[in-house]
Amino acid sequence: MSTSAPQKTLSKIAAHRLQKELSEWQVNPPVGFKHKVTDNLQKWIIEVTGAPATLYANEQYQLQVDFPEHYPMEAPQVIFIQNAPLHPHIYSNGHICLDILYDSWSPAMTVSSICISILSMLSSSTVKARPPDNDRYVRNCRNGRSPKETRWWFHDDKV
Amino acid sequence: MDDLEIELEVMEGVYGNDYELLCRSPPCLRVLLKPRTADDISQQFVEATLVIEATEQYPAVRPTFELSNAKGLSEKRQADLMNTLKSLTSTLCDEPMLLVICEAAVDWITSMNAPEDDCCFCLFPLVMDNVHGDRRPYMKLMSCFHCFHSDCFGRWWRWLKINEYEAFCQQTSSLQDELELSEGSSGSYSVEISSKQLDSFVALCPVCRTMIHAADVAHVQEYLTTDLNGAEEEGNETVLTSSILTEEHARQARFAAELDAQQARGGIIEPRRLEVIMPGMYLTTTPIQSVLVPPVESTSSKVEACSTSGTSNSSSIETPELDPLKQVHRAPIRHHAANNKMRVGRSSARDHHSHTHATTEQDQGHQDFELRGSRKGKLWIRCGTKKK
Repeated sequence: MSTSAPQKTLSKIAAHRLQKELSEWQVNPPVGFKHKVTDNLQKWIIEVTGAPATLYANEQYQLQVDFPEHYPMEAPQVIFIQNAPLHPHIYSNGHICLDILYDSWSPAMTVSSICISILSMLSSSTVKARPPDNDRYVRNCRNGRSPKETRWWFHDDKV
Repeated sequence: MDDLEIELEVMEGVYGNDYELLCRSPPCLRVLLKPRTADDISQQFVEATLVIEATEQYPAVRPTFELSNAKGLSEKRQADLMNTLKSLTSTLCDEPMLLVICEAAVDWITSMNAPEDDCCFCLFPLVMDNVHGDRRPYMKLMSCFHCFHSDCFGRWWRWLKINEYEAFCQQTSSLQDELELSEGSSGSYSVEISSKQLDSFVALCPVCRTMIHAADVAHVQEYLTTDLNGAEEEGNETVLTSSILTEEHARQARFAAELDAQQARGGIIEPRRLEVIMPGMYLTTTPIQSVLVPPVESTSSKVEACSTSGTSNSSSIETPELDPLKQVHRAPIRHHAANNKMRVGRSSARDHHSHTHATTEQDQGHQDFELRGSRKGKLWIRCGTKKK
């Protein structure tokens, strides 16, 4: 399920930035998220707990964040691994249709701010369902394509 | 002319274009507060508009004021300013106070003229608290006042440009292909397209997403075009070392050539050799490669003795057919060692290098020094390489 395109190692700038982000995360992690400690700075596994009083309350999911060589100038690749939550913008292969992960990425964003956006996306959902084009999309991505290669169309600003 | 009118005129004189009278009676005015930076607006990192509203009873009744359009000022800082101004006006009573308030506000904003956030690229503070930390230059975008380390921003800008350039190159080449297929025309048309596309390079402020215009970044042009901090960036480091290496190789080659030229012309003074040929200095073993060295005042250890013999015996360096077994060398040593044999480790093996340099590496570190009989009360040392 996880997509792992051959990755270039982090640039020095990217490594510095990620170390800084990690140390800030350790001091002040976003509510509802837990970073699984590994020695790999380039791939973070983050546990998400659905916010109380939402459709996903107390449900546990795992996010995988892969950082490119030129992070934060380039967006990281963020996907759900194992069981992706049922959500109109989350495909069964874990890909997330969220503009800030692609076209609207800005280097001012952090892992922490991404997490908050994803949780807010989950929390505002009113229906637990897959996107209507899920099967077609997942079929197209079968050979481990990164969601960053997808040409996303962000049409829904409500969820 | 009453007092109020004089005061408003003074205000206009002091603040010029930054002053705007919204209403004459009751007086309501607006002053753009800017830090005093000798009109270098690129160094103004904070800015706010102060709106002062007075009543008909002014100055008997104090005016009210509020901030608007604050840039580079956090809520906390804005509240600080308002509190400062409030406590100031509470000390004033029944006197013209518009100018006093505005000047206090400008003083305050001048003292706060620094970004208080972190650089959004590296997440480190723009202004370091500690005095010892090296200060990294920072910059603002002229219209939105968002601040970054100049090198962080420049790196991002160049990266965007490169990406844009690569994208448009791909586009142009595909366009060119299309054109050539359809019309078989020259590339002049596509050149026109490409320059138009490059001009349309658009960047948004990473923080607020407002479009960055040329005027927003003109003051940091040098960071946008060149990498002023090259060593920091990946890849450049290796380029740097290799360029240093090439330079060093060139330098060495130059010196070597110079030395050759000097030697050829006999213009160089070779190191003096402490060689004295004495009868019977050659051992019976052949080939003869040994040199006898006169007694040197030396209370040295075995290692020193070894290095002495090594340096003084430079003539044997050039001997091509050195047989380490048979090569015997005598060096004096004033050393009444208890042991007949002294084993010398690797450190001395290096000192010993000059006259065993034709031996293989495996022999190194296994050189034995054998004390032989004394001559005229002095000990002689036999130095060779023992075969395993």
